[in-house]
Amino acid sequence: MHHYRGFTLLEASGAAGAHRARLRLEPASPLFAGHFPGHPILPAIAHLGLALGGARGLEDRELTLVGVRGIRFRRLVEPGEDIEVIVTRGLEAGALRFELRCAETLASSGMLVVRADARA
Amino acid sequence: MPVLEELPPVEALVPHRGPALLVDRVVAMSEDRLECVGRIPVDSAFADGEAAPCFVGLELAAQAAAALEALRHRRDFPNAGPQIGYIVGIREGRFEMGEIPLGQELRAQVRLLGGASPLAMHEVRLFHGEIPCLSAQVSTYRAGRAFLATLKDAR
Repeated sequence: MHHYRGFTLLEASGAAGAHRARLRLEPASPLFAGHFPGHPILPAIAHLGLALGGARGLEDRELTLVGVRGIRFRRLVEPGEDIEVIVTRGLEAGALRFELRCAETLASSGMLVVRADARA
Repeated sequence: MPVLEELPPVEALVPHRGPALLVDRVVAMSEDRLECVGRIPVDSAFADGEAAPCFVGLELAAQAAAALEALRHRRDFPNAGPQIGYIVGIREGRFEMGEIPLGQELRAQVRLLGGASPLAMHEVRLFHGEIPCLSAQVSTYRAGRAFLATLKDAR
């Protein structure tokens, strides 16, 4: 069981306050349903979901996303692509920086603000 | 905000379909503001039991912003169809709820903050009843399908 629901986890590693994972976005993923007909691309909120998955991998616990800052979406992500997720701790408590990369290109980046999930 | 009686259906404003279409209808619009109602469908790809993480509501709010941009664009090009609007940035977002219940009516309010078409920045807010769900400043890029082909060719 991993933190990246809807994706195939190819590899993951964590060391020195950083989490890295490589995932495959299956062409048949329901994330593409209706987004958009004829031109499927990964929704922006799925980038945030991936980043939150990386944050959970880093902290090894359930987290709730309570805020985001300075998010930039720089590249469209299409069905069948592999995605690298990199999450590192920020300077403030509960702040985590993320990058998503596809084919060596930055797809999105920014800061997550999280809190530990009370249900965890 | 005045309620507009003759607005086109939301399918004429945004290209999302099926479980990706979160806006049900536009209920009010002015020069730089729009209010709509929608929901996160029970068959959403982001569903987790009977709810979805609060940040999924950003998609609904962004679709509301896209609808406002489409309506403004149609003033100059009345026959324009729905155009794909990409979220290119979120300056600051706050998620007030841990999760949002699926299938229940949500109300999105958007206000145009600035930009130069096809780039625009909006303040967006989402409510479940009177309860605030989220607020954010979202930047979008409104692009035609020809733009998509250009991006693919450039890769």
